Amino acid sequence: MTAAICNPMHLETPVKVTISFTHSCNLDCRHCYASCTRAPAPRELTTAEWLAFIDYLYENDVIALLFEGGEPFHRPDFMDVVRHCARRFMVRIRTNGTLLTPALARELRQAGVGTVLVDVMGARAATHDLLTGVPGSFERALAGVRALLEAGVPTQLLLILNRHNVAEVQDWLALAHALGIRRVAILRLYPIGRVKARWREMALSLDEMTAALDALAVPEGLTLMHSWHPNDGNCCWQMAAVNAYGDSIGCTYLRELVHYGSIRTMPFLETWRHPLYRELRAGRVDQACPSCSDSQGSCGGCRSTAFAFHGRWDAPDPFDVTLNQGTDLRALPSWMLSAGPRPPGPAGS
Amino acid sequence: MFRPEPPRLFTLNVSAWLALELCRGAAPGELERAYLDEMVPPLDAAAARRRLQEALELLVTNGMVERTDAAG
Repeated sequence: MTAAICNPMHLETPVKVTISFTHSCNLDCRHCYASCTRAPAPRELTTAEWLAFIDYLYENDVIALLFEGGEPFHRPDFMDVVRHCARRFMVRIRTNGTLLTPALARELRQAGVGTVLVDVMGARAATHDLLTGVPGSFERALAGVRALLEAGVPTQLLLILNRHNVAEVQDWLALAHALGIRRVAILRLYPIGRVKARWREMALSLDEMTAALDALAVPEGLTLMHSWHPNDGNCCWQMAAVNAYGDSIGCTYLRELVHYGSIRTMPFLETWRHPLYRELRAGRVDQACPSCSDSQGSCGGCRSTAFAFHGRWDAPDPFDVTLNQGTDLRALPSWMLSAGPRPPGPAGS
Repeated sequence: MFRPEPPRLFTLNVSAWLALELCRGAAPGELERAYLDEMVPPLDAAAARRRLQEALELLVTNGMVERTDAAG
């Protein structure tokens, strides 16, 4: 099919970059996207390599960094890197919250960190701890959130919607509100990393997701963000991401699907010019939802989930109710279950 | 645009972006002349001055620029 729709925006260089600082973690999440190990792999970028890369980004006009993992605070040199970024970038950090202490939260505040996003996977300890695989992690995450708020660090909660927590999302909103959080986000479950092996156990149908979101009553003073219809953006036009090994992967949700080159062997902006990267940023798709395009300014919805379920980069995003076309999101294509998934046929070659 | 303290990102409209670009180290009269050079036409001079004033208020209120003695 001829792709006739494309993103209206174009960037010569990225303005924000996501850094998967480590693929190690202190938890054992059954939904882990990075297939984390307890100890960092020897081939992860060193502190010096990260600092040099961050200087390079600063010199090339990047203004925002999102650090995630794995669990970034699990690597002992993380705060050295955060301090290096201080007040040069808008710094956001995604964390499981369990390693945050009041002293560390104050340090983050002093370093000028913009926002910390904490994954809290349910309203109840039993749910959260089941998903993280570590008893007590719920209480430790909440203690981390309280420490951040006490230190005056802008803090948001994240929840990845799945079968284990779908019944308690309203209570999760109430929990966030009670903690004093002002902004939360509900995220879709992506078929990457460890969760692929548990997809049937954890994935919801689109109807189940939509019903859960539609039923929510957001407490006054709390802002809820989500990326389902009518907010399903094709973010590729502005995305840049580098994993813990220095691979340029465009977006952390594309981490197993693309590889634009290594920042160890070429300047990052050379990877930015990789033909597939350019193609995905152009956002040429064969169908787009008008409502989502209007709200997000981009066309076709998420490319990661579109590719995962259809094996084509220009396919419709099945997480969008107007583009789903009967795709059962509880059933992952078998080719996606491999470590380096490639669809059968020309798209996978 | 990134403002370091307190940390926040801003998306600027074209008018505010132009004012920001032109006001680095410029005296008020220099800034106004440069802004009008870019904006008139299509705007008339009075409308361009109003738009510049609005843009500067936005930038100053949000801590993105400040007036210094050196700039006059």
